[in-house]
Amino acid sequence: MLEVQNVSKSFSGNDVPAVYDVSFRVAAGELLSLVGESGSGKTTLLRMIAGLEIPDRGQIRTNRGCLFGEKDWVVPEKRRIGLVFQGGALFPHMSVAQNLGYAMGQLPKSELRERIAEYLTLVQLDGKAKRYPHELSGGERQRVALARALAAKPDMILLDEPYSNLDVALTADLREQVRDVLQQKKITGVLVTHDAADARHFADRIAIMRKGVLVQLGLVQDVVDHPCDMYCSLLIRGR
Amino acid sequence: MGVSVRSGGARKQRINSWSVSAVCCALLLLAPLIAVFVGVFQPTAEWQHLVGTVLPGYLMNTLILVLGVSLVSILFALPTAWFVATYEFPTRRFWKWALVMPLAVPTFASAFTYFDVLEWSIPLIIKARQAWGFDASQWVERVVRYGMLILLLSSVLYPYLYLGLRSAFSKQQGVYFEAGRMLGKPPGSIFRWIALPMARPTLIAGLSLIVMEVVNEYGAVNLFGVPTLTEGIFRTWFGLGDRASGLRLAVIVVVIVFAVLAFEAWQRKRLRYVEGAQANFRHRRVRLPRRRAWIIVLCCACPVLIGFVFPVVRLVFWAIAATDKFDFADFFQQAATSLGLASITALLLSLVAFFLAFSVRVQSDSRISKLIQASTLGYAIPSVVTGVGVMVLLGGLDHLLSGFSFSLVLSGSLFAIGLAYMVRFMTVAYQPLDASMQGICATLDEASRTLGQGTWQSLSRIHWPLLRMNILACATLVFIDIMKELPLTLVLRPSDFETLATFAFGFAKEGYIYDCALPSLLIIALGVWGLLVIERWIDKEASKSC
Repeated sequence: MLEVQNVSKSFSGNDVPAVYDVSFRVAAGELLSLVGESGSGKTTLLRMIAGLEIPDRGQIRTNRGCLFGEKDWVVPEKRRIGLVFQGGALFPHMSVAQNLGYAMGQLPKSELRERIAEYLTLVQLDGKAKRYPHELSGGERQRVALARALAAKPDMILLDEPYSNLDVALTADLREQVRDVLQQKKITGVLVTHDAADARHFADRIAIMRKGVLVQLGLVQDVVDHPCDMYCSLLIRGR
Repeated sequence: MGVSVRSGGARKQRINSWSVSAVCCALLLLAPLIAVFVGVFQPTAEWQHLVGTVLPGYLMNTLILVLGVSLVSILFALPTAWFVATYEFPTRRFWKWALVMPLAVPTFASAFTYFDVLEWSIPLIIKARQAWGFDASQWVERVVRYGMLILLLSSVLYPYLYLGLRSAFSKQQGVYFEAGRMLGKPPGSIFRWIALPMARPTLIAGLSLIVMEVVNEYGAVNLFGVPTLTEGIFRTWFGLGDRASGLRLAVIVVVIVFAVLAFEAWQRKRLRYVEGAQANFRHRRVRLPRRRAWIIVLCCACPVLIGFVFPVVRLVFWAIAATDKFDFADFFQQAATSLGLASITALLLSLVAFFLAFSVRVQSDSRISKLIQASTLGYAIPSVVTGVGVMVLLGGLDHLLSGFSFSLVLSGSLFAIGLAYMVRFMTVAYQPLDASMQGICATLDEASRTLGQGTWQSLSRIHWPLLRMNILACATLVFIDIMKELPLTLVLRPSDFETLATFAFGFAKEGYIYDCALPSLLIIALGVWGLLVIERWIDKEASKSC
């Protein structure tokens, strides 16, 4: 479960807040897409949930308690939230297995091998354990990034434009796989994207952001059928 | 003239005046080193004697110094570079450049100031003799002497490592640090498993420079009585008069240095340390609580105190004490000679480095590019070897020029020193200029070409304006190195020719320790000025690329 209440954030030098008074709730195991144009504040919101940015005010809670509030602040490494970065952010000096192993922490060698193989099977990358990131395709890299995020056993996964560097055919394949994996593991997921098709195919619900404000939140079909204004209509139909 | 750029564009095999000039430059730079290798095969009666007596000692001493100085330099440079690059603490900006300042102190000047500190260990040596006998006291004395030498060499050489690591840690993409945090890892784990391995090429490059400097060291090891391979070459060549054995020792040094570099390159050939497709932002510095911040300040202060403050303060006191009897006329003459020689050579050398880097960029024949790159590796060769090579080469040419009656037209002139400086310090200017040249997008060359401009026009109207500040920065770096240079100048200087470095070293060798202070301080002051100029330039470049 994730609960965001009245969260706002401004950056110095900018009069307009990057995120303003945003509130929503994501149930356990639910998948939500945060969609908006560039500069709409969706990535800033995601980074605040991850703990990589500090909100100016508001509250962020998960089922483990308050992550950010008036008196609370949990550092990113203690939040048990996984983040799949835009380019994957695989450590270039580590092989695929080492990237996954780093996320798993101290385990006996045999168990570590077993669990790495298990996660690689989950993202359909059997046999690629010894490859280095530069020896993988863009899609494979993103799948390793997902496997690595899952390997840390998070309560929730955040995905920051994970398909933005991939071609159309690969994106279609990958988003199906990501959705399947998250549903299989029953993990709460929040996807940030500017692509309406990605948003529609990934999530149970969609949240649309514009200029830092959450303008519409609802089930995918509801938002597609009944956009609240012209902006949402154009954005969600991908025109 | 045809232009074909390394990083793109169609390539066309073509010999032109550009390639011919570049090859001539490269061959001139390589010639002294070739002369050393050719000389190895001359017969020598003393070699077996050297192998059986002093060679193992030279090797062992060199190895002890290389390992010791590398280790202590890592201890000085690694934490300080990490703190300055990743944390925000009071006086951070001061320490950022103060930690570079020991680089301005020549190793021999540092050695003068620490030499009598050895006397403080005499009570300990006496106690060791009383408790465990004479042999044990000898061991204690050696440990103290070697330890002090390692400490003082590390304290002035660690900035080679610090500068590279600070830049590497600052430039590492913040996304990897964030990825580490999102996997639940604390800062210590991120440093150990992400930041440090990703900085490995920089760490190795910095350590290689330090190893080369230690192998090259003459003044400090000579004062402390620790004969290394370089000292061995001096003794064999000038003491025994055995050239061939000296050359063989020189080749051993070169082979060791290149073997280390080749092993490291082979070991990391499959690894990569950067990924192009990441969101490109730097990590933000973390603000520290006050108590931890002061511990960090203390860590930063230690190497600066040992490597800069202590030697400079002692030299200042000595200089004041020696003012009454000091021969200022002589001093000003040596200062003018040093400044003139260093400035002209540094400027000329940087221009040649720029020309060579550009030649490699526009070169279509990879063999020529490799030849040029090989000719710029003189820094890996100890300067005494370079000096010996220049002497052999120019001695041979003198022999030919004078119609087989020996005279010192070339080998006894400033030309010999200038050429030797060129060979030795070309790496210092070439490597950064080549890196900057590669940073210029290949499409600029292609645009110039499609606008009907030739190679020379591209050089003068595109690359020169873009890189002229880099050339000046490299010239400053070379200037500092030349001002501090000792063994090369000792080998090649014409009679009655002195630089500030040889002037100071001469006083110290004769026991006039106070008289060596003023020339040493002038070298340090010029070095500090040069480093401040370069630091400002680095900051400007960094702010441009952010």
